[in-house]
Amino acid sequence: MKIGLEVHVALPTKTKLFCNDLAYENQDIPNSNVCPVCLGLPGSKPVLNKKALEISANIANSLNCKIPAKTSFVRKVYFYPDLPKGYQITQLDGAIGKEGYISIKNKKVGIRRVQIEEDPAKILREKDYSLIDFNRSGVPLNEIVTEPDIENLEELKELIKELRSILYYNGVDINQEIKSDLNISLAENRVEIKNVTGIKNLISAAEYEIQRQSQLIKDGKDVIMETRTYKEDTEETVSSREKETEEEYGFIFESDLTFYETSNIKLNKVVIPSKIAHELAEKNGYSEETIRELVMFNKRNLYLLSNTPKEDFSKAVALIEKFYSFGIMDYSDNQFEMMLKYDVSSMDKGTFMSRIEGKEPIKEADKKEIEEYLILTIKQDSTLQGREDEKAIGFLIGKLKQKYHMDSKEAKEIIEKTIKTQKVN
Amino acid sequence: MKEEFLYVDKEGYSKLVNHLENRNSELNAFNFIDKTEKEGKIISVKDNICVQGIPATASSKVLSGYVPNFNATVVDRLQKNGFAVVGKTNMDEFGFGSFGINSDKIAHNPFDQRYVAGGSSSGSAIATAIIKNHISIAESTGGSISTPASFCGVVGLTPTYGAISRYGLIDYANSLDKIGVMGRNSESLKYVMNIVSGQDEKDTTSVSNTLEEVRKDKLYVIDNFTKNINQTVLDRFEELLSRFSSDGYKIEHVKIDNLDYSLPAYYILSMAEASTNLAKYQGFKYGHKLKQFSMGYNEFFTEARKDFGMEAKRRIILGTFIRGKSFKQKYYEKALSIRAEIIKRMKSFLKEGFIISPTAPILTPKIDEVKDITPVEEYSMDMLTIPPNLCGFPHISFPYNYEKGLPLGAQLITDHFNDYALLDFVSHWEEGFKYRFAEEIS
Amino acid sequence: MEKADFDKLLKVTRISLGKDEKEKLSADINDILIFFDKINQFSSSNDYTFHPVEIDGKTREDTNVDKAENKDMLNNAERYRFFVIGPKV
Repeated sequence: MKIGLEVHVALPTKTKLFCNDLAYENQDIPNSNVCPVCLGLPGSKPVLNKKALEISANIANSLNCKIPAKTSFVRKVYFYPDLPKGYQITQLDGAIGKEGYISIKNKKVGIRRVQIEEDPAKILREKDYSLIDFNRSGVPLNEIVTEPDIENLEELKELIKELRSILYYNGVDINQEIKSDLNISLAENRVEIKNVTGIKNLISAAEYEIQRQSQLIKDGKDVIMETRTYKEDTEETVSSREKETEEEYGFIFESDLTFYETSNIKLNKVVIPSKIAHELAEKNGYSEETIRELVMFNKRNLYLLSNTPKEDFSKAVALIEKFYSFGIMDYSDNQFEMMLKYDVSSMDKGTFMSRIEGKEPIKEADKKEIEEYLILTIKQDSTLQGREDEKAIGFLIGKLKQKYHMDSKEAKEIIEKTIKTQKVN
Repeated sequence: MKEEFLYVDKEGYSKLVNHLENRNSELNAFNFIDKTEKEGKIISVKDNICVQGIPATASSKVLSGYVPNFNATVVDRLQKNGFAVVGKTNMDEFGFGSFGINSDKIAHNPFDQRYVAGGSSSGSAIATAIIKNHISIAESTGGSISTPASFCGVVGLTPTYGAISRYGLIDYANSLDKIGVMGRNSESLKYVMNIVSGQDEKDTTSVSNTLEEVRKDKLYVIDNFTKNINQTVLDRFEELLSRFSSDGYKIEHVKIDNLDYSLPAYYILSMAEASTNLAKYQGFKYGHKLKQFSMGYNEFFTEARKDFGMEAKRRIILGTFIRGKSFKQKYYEKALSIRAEIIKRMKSFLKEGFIISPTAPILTPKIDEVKDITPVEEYSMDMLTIPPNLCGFPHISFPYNYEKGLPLGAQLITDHFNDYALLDFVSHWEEGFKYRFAEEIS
Repeated sequence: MEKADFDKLLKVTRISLGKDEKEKLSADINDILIFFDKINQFSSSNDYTFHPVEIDGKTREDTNVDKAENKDMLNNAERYRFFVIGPKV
């Protein structure tokens, strides 16, 4: 079995690829972020966004690609109402990245190409016409094309996770709906599944197609070379009527643009989170799976764990999980370090919160004073005497909170203990 | 500066517009004359260059009704310097033509209406020939400034590729298109060039190089360039050469290898690029609009694209064919390497001197004579203007004689970025030769 | 060019031609291709020139600028509310 993948991801820039309209902000009103360039008005000319070039070079670099000394663009002509110029500006031969790979557990999956291209407009189908919103037209994308090196569904899933993780570490919004094309061949002939939206659909499209092709083979039938589309509602792939297209009519150099030098692009240190997770697991003798879960899509966790000494490592993992379980996301480095002092495993949220705010646990000496205060309080209030009910304890908790700024759990403990001792006496 | 332009106030403007409308009904110089009162130094602009609020059609039905709401950079710069656009000049559809006849309204030569005005910037040349002290912003891809300037008896400068921003120019072939200027003397062209040239952040291919004025005293005549030229044209040209010779220029006859390939190479590149540029005309975003949205996009596009003229259709089909996967290497890539070769060959001479030739290999033809010629015949008439255009070398066409009442133009080519040397050369020429203009409308 | 190739090109380019137009154009095109074929006598080097002069790879900063001048960019299109109306897909 051979599976190859083509994914399209939007890049984290402020503005579009070839004009300075906002790419992601203020998009509520259709056609509010448009100009002659992204509308393809006659006479307009594209100018390349430097940031998009930088991000793309970094993504290519993270995917172990060769980055050519000069990168350039081509025009891909096709006719569809969402494509304002009648051609898409993309890269192919001049791609920013070529011949790279992604490592997954047991192998390397080749990356044929990482290329920069522009997103077409958004199109809404209506019965007798279509409605077009050009806000999305010109949003910068990377198209990442793998070699058909993937050999089963597990590898496909793993590859997607690995790729998304690397993209996330390059600043890519990981919650976006990634659009992909998939090619799968169980026999000789290659079947392409075009325009699958989202990861969930990608996996189930692959599942369906593998099933379909193996059934055909089992039945002794031929798998036809064709393009198919994935139907979300029925979760199956169907043959698309789209026949020979403009594809065979060549791409020509985009001479409204030129060659761009890549040598002066600043390349950041490559972060492969799964690799770091592996190293952390080895170094600290900890479960790799757990660390992966924590760091693959979380830069902060990766940072914290990488900076934790071995003796604190398990505590750090537990602490991160605790923060997460309490829904606390915006803690500081100092708070994290401070919390490492405690055994947080049995802490309730209240105690945990007051520790984060810097409140120390009650000391033994203070406990003595608190007990005395409690005894005095009960003595002075006849309605409290001899009672162990919730209402009475609740009242006392309130008192302690007010006077000693204790949290409820601590207060309750000390109240119950005092009442018990009093009874014995 | 002794440069003069026709300056009008609001009252004068209405008068001018009236005169122009009268003449235009016979000559078809303008696709659009702006009646909105304005004042300033009068210029006209080729109809493939966007002027905010004024229709831009590039003489194509697919763009009829399109009113751009942004200015081309050249127009912006000129308006800021006190120039007022009186109208948009007629042209061959999208620039596809050498005679000004590939337009709904055929352009007529202002010296004699039976003759062609030349193309594709036909209207700019006519306007310059009939309006007092006029300047027109034109555009050349393969000779569209030189040819009409020559036939209409005006000076036409095609600058170095990239010297003037193409922002706002409706594309024909992006690696070949050059905005340029037509006028009645070198001085006024220089004035306008100073305003419109220079890098523009809206056009990646506009260059920052300073335009120079390096004089040359050597004139190269390319013998294999001039071999297919009409005998009368050649005789007049020889006379011109002897005049330059007696003025102290050194005339040298040379041969440039592989120059013959420039014509097919030019047409291959320009058609391949044009076929992509014309993909955007689909009948619903701008220009002539179809209302039958329910017919499905393929049928809809096909219906809308019936509005292209014959030459446009020919170039779309051919251009698509020659960039096809199996032919790209044979045609498109080969043409790219021919361009590299011709640049190298021509440059070795242009470092030493100018290259000079007649602008057109024929005498101005009658409209009837060219109406039915084959495309290949028409393309071959561009043989003298194609090489500098293919290679982005600046060149200028200037009137040097009159044959049976019709002007003859000569074309001077120089090295990249030496644009002002051409104007300097022509200004010396103008000291000893008085141009005749068709009319003096003001 | 073969007739089938020509028909395919018409389809791909979304150009429809009447019978006479088609005859004339396909004859023209064959003429022009013969004219183009001349270049095959040129022994090619791998030196390509995409632009006649050298163009620096200038880029633009990733900043949004006020777009007052970009108002009414779609006033040439048919619109419904804020959308542009296009043909059915």
